[in-house]
Amino acid sequence: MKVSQLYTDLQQNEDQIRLIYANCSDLVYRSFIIEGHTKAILIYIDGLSDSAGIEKNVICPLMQEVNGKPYEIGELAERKISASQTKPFTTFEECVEYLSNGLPILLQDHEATGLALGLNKWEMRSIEEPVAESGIRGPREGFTETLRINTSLVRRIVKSPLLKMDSMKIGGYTQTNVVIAYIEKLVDITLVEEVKKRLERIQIDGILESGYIEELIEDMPLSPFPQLLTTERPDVTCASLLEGRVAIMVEGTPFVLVAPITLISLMQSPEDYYQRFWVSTAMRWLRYLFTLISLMLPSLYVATLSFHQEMVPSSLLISMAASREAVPFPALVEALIMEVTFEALREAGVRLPKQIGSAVSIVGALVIGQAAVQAGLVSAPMVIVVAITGISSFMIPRYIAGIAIRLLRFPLIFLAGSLGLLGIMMGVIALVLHLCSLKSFGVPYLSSLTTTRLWELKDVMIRAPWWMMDTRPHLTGKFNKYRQPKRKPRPKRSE
Amino acid sequence: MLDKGKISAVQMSLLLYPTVLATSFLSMPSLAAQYAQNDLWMTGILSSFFGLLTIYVATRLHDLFPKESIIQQSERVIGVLPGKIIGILFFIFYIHVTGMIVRMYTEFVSGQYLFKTPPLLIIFIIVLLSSIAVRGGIETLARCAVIFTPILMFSLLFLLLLFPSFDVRNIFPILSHGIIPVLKASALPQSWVSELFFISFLLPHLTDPKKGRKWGFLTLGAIVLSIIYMNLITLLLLGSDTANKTYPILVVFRYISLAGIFENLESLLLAMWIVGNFIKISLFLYVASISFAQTLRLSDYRPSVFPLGILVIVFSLWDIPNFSKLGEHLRYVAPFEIPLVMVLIPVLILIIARLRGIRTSKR
Repeated sequence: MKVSQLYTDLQQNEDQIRLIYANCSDLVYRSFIIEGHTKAILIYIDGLSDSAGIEKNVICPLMQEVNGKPYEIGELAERKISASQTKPFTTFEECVEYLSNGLPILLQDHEATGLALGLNKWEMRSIEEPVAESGIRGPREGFTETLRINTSLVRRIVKSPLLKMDSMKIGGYTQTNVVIAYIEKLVDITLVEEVKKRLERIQIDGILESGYIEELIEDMPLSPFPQLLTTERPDVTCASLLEGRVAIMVEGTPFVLVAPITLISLMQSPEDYYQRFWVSTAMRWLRYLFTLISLMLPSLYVATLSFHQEMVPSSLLISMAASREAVPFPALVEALIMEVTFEALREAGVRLPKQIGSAVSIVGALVIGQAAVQAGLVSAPMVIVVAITGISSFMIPRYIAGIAIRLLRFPLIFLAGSLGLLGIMMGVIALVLHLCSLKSFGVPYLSSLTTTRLWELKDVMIRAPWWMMDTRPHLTGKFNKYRQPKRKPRPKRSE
Repeated sequence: MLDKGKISAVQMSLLLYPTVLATSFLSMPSLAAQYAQNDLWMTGILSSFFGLLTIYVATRLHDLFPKESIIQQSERVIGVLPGKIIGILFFIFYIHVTGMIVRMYTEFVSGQYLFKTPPLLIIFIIVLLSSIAVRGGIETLARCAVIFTPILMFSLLFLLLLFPSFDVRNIFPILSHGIIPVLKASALPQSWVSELFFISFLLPHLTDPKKGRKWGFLTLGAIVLSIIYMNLITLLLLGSDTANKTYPILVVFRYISLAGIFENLESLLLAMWIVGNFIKISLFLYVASISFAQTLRLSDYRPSVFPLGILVIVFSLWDIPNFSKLGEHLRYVAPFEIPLVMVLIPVLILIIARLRGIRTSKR
């Protein structure tokens, strides 16, 4: 669409807009006469604008008949219209943009300038508790679908004017608003440039969720691991900003993207930072352990049963062999059947309406658990293994990372069934190799784990107490290294 | 430089540790015991000499020609054509040694764990993974080493669980046969330790090259301590029987039994053997590819990695017909072959550089 100026004739302007919005039944055209002498028209999209406000603040004061000389459109805004924002415009392109964002526009006869009024208002979800990232301690606010509410939630936490929010529009048809938030003097400015460059490269017709953007800007699109953090919590977003990261907020979704991240970022839960550091450290270790279990336990079980029976203590081996006696399948097939069934149950549990949810758990627990063992289709130890694995994958605080690990379990089971322990080790080496070469916006994915500066592990191996967290992470917060001056945990004697 | 990656001195150290120890430690005590008998634990101390020498030479050469590896340094010191010949020699030697390592790795895995799996498959997988790692560059390799080397080191601590079974009398009498058998026995560990010369290829990548020598010597110290530790534990446990075992460390690991749960830890040994060898084979292949590319002045080393990997597979199969020949090679050829290339040639190059009066670099 090439830039075209507004006409001075009102009728011509109205015809042009009616032409642009042909067959759009949601547009409202309201003609009236300003103060009894000048023709004018107010245009807005029904449902996106505050019609009561329009009536009270625009039409009512303008239609009062007063004798005097007619106002210029600028003067109208200054003297008559009591809307909080007014924006003059001179082209049809601006006119369309304001209209589609819900701003009513006012056109006056004999004027080539229109006025957009800040009276947009539409139905939105209120701020609720985040569903996918719930916790016991910590703020209970979650992002919503409205971009401005999300930015305000962040701004409410980080009040410094150094918090910058650059905005751009992505998507040919959806024209989705995207905000890039960062804290100046904390963030590596080349990182912000890189994020903007990658966002500008996107030429898709529409952005419906931040997942679109995530896949379009990540470093290694074929990797199963997420290279951006998705969060619906303002506190997580602000913590990331304070570490020198960049947040990408997208209109229409409560999920905010954070870059760059490391593998460990996916293992950190917001609650770790709010409760006592001993507890957090212990929980972190538990989480790491169960992540490994979720990745390797079924394959280790298959490898042990198929190749390395000598590894099992003999008393345990006897009971395992006894329970497997009636099972007709090899361990590999047995494990695959059970794992696939579990995944199906999990997926069904997400999709099913709440009322039927309990049916699934009954089917899962009774039919697939107990009945399958009694029928001799699977062995009881395998059910235990699958159950532990299934639970442990939910220990990972980021759902998407948990899914990646759960999927990688299957190739490992195949490797274990064909090459035993050697196969598992080969799979693990390949996985580590992939993670070692993976980068998230130039930051190595394993950098926080493979660093040789020991103090970098303060937020990886342990969760150091806050009075010891004096530095930001090395690779993201290198421009403003210190969070706080060093201090001792104990208050001074005199205090 | 062909690879622009940067690693820290600690990462270099973690790369070098498995490169020296990963393959050899399994059979080390028995090979040493064949000469030194109950004095085998001393071989570790004596073997540090070549390590000190090779690290000193490599770091001196790096002081003279910073940011360059031995291949480029030798061209500068002894001229282009002789330098190229040295480069080709290094390259062929590294491929040959990589083949040997792959073969030793495969013999252990297929001989002790996977009897029916075709050895070629085991060779193929590890070489494929190593090639991918090498193509990732030195940074990827270093990160892998930071994850895997601690596994290797940590697993060795499990040997301490055998403490109740140690018999200190196995050490005595000390030096009953004189020092000569011990010297003979330390010939083999010496050759492994001289593999620390790979520091020459890693020094150009260090973020802080001044720390290179210090961490090189620290690595040597850790390796010597590990050799003494493993030799001593094997001796204390197996005594005069050490010399008869093919893989004494495997026997020792099988011995571990604690509270009826911690037993049959040889699977742990397999795991650490695999990850250690992965690092080792990758670094050898990396060095081989780099020397190949530097000798021929290629603009990138990556395209040659997979072809060289195939060459490694071929060398691992054709060099050695069977396991006993491998043992013979290890015992009689390797102690002379490895120090010849890894120590003697660099020493000669350093001496020639000194004689030609090259003191500081052009830069």
